[in-house]
Order: sequence, then C-alpha cells, then structure tokens
Amino acid sequence: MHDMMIPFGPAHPALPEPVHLKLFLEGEEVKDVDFSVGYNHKGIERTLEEMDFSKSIFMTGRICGICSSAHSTCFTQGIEKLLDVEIPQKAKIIRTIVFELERLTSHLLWLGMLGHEIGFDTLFMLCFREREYVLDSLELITGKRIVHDINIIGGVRRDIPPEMIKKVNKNLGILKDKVDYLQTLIKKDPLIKKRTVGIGNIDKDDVEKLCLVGPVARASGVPYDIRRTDKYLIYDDLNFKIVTQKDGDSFARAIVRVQEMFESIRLTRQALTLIKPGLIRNKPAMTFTEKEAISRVEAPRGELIYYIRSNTTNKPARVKIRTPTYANLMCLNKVLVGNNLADVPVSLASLDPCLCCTDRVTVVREGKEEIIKLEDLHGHH
Amino acid sequence: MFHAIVDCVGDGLIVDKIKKYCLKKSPWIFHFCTGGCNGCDIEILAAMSPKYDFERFGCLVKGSPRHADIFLITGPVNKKIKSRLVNLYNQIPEPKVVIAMGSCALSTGIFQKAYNVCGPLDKIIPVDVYIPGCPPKPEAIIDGIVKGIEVLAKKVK
Ligand code: SF4
Repeated sequence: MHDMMIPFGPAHPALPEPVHLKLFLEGEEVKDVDFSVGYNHKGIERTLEEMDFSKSIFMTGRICGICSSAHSTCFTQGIEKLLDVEIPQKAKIIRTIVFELERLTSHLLWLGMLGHEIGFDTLFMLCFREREYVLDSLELITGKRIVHDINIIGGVRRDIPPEMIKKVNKNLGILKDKVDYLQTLIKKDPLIKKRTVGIGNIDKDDVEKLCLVGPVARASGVPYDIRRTDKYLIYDDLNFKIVTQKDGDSFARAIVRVQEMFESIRLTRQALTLIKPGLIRNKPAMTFTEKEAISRVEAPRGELIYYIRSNTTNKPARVKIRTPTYANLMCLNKVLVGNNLADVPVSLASLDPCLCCTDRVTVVREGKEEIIKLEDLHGHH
Repeated sequence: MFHAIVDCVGDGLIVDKIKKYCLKKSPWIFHFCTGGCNGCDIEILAAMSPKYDFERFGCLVKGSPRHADIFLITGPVNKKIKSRLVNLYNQIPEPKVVIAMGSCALSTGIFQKAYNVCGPLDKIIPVDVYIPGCPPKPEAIIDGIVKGIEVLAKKVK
C-alpha cells in the first residue's frame, strides 16, 4: 500500500493542456503513476468520416496547434497516394520549409516550457523571444502564425516569391546565433544541469521494447527518424544528420532538441536555395476508389502515422491516426517512478507530451477491447 | 496595512476603495483549455513573451482559480471537461470576468459536428468578452484582455 495519492490536474500549471495524473507516493518518492486522458477528446476521427477530403485537411491541421502542418502534410500525402497524383517539386519544397520551421517553433516552445518547469523563467522568456523570428517567417510564408493550413490536395496554397526568401534567410541567420547562445546556456548553466541530469532515465532497451519515437528515442541512442527511413517530400536531396545522445535522461533530450534546431535551420536554408519558378499545384480529378493508404512523417515529437481507407464517395471510410505522444506516453511509468515528487513536472515536460494529439483513444482494458456505451464514456471520470 | 487603515478610519469604506483600485490595476488571469487544438494556448504564451508582453497591464497568469480575476478559456468544451469547467468557474472569487478565446470557444468552430463537444462556451457559463480568430493573434488577445479589464472595472463599481 502506498502512503499517499496526489492528484495532478486536470487543470495544472505544468502544461497548458488538461491531463489528469494520479501519483502514488511513499514519502517524497513516486512509487506508481496512473493517468487519465480524454479531457481533450472531441471525436475527430469520427468527424473526419463525415467531411469531404478537401475540407478535412483543415480539420487535421487543427488536431494539434503545435504540429499542425505535420498532421496536414501527413494526411494530404495519404490522400495523394489514394489518388495517385505526383505533386510538383516546388510544392514539395514549400511543404518541407513550413515543416522544418514548425519543428523550430515546437522545439523552442518546448525548451521554454522546460525552463518554466525548473523555475528558470528567464529561459522561457528568451526562447519565446527567439521564437518570434520563426513565427514571423511562417506568417510571411503562409499568412498565419500558428495553424498554417498551407497544404491542399495536389500541392500548396501559396507561393514563395524571391524577396520572401531573402527575408526568411535573414531571420534564420539571426535565429542561428540566438540558438547558439541558448545551447551554451543549457550546457553551462548549473541550475539546468542539477534539475535535468540523471532525471527521468530511459535506456536503449526500454526504447526498443516500448517502441518509443522521436527525440525521446534519439536521446537514448536509437537513431530512428522517418525523414531518413521514408524519404518523403524532398528529404532525400537534403543533407542533414540525425542527432543522437547516449544518456537518455532529461538533459540528453534537451540537447537533442537544441541540436535538431540547428539541423532544421540548415534544412530550411538548403530548401530555400532549391526554389525555382514553377507550378505549385497539380489539380487532380477527385475520383476515389476503394483503396487504403498509410502515410508517415517525422513530426516534431516523433513518428506520426495516418491510415486512410477510401470508398467511392469523396469522404474517407476510415481514418486512423497514431500520434507520437501516444507512443511515448507508454514510458511514463519508467520515467516517473523512483523520482522525487518535485521532479515530476520536469520529467513529464522532457517527454514533450502533446495531449491534443493524443486524445482520440479507444478503450482497451486488460488487453480486450471493451465496448462502452456512449453515456458511460461521458460519465466516466 | 489594511488593518491599520481600518483601525484609523473606523469604517470599511477606504479599504473598499483601495481594494477596488488594486483589482483594476492588477487583474490576475487563470487560463484553461477545454479541449481545443492548443493553437490558442500557445498564442497566450506568445502574448506573455517579451515581444507582446501583456504583463505590462498588471496581468499575471496564475496556476490556481482561487487567485484569479479573469478566466481566459479556449476550446470547444468537451463532455468530460464540462463539469470541471463549471467547478473552476465557481471557485473564482467575485467579481470575475470570463473571456472566451478562439472560434472554438465562440461557436465550437471547426469541431461543430464532433460528437464529444457540448459547447459553445456561452451555453455553459456567462461570457463577458469574445476574442474571435483561429487562433487570434497576440494583438487581438491583448485587446480582449484590455476590454476584459474595462468590464472588471465596471463590475467593481
Ligand atoms: S480556435 Fe482554432 S486555434 Fe484555437 S483552439 Fe480552436 S481550432 Fe485551435
């Protein structure tokens, strides 16, 4: 029997989204964790089945505000596989640029949140100040700061004219110096080290057993990156390295994300040089047949999978989404158990959970899928 | 300090005045996401950041509803969170201002047809200020909060 149970959430200061954790303690030490999600569940997969394909792209972009273009790129790629269309090279380049800029905003946001978690609010403010350079570039390219909606079936919505390339390049130049500074800050600051080194360890075996993805896997030494394995968009033509670390603690995850920012800046710059005048969209005939498609991308948090099945109508028959956070939540037990209570927010934040992505869960209890009446689900607290 | 003033003056009038003055100058915000896409929530963080800095109006984002004067809500209100939302609303001391932010909170927006959504927000709790947009820009958020402070000032009177 455990000494005490502490409820954590659903409204809590650690993350902007609602999640409910139950922490079982003995003294200060966490002995067990239980979590309940569903505070964000809206029923998107079901709703997608009732929207036609061209509209549902904008819905998938709103599954998660932070990885909006990851979701919509993945979904449009799937639809393009169903329709067998090849999109113009320029559209691919623009998608890659938006994708990488989004990864930058996501990682900067994460770093800021880590700073906030360990009580280092200056870091939070610094990260958010630098983040504005990326958001400005995104606003320039797509017209929006957060939910970009750049993808449409067969291509992209907006072109990048030459003067824009100059401005974005300039912003990236400034950003690179700032990220450099952030990196030295993280590597040197004793406060950050004290709170993150050796906290929330996951070793390589666990990563492979639990199928963890994204920066969490890479921080434990597993070089798993869909950009390399699947070579979607134009990643095959670009030169980048997969950042890995060995230690698998919160500090390693921070370093992985910071170094990925440099890679993203490099990738965006390379992609910008590839832009040549040309078409940005091949408008396909929207005739669907009974078919299935699986599409994968490397979202800022890891591998994102869409499964789409179509029938002869212009609405999907089924869409199934597997988000990176859903995969990574499996290691919550490993990360939190054995830690001090005060380290819970840090370890939790170091996984970078995104619950808006995650809350589309089917109920599976003791290995069996249970059919639960809708009313029960609503009353389920 | 308040006790000292009460002792000198003998009635609560001046205390009330000071309290009202303070409330208008430093409204604290409690932010709650009722199941939106997170886009709005990160824009609130961006509005706190050095470029926009809404803290210059005396606002501070707080982690507890009991400290708050302004309740800033995003998202289309899903069925599981509805009861928690009402709880939180009741925990905020009077006078309070409720600000609905983003098309989700205003009209449930793109999630209108989703089965687990029971918004819009103003069907559940009274709303004073609406900030439209998906997500609203930080400038719009600041504008909404300033309007919220005006409403708060009226409520205090
Ligand atoms: S209004 Fe738009 S950005 Fe805000 S939570 Fe809703 S879908 Fe997301």
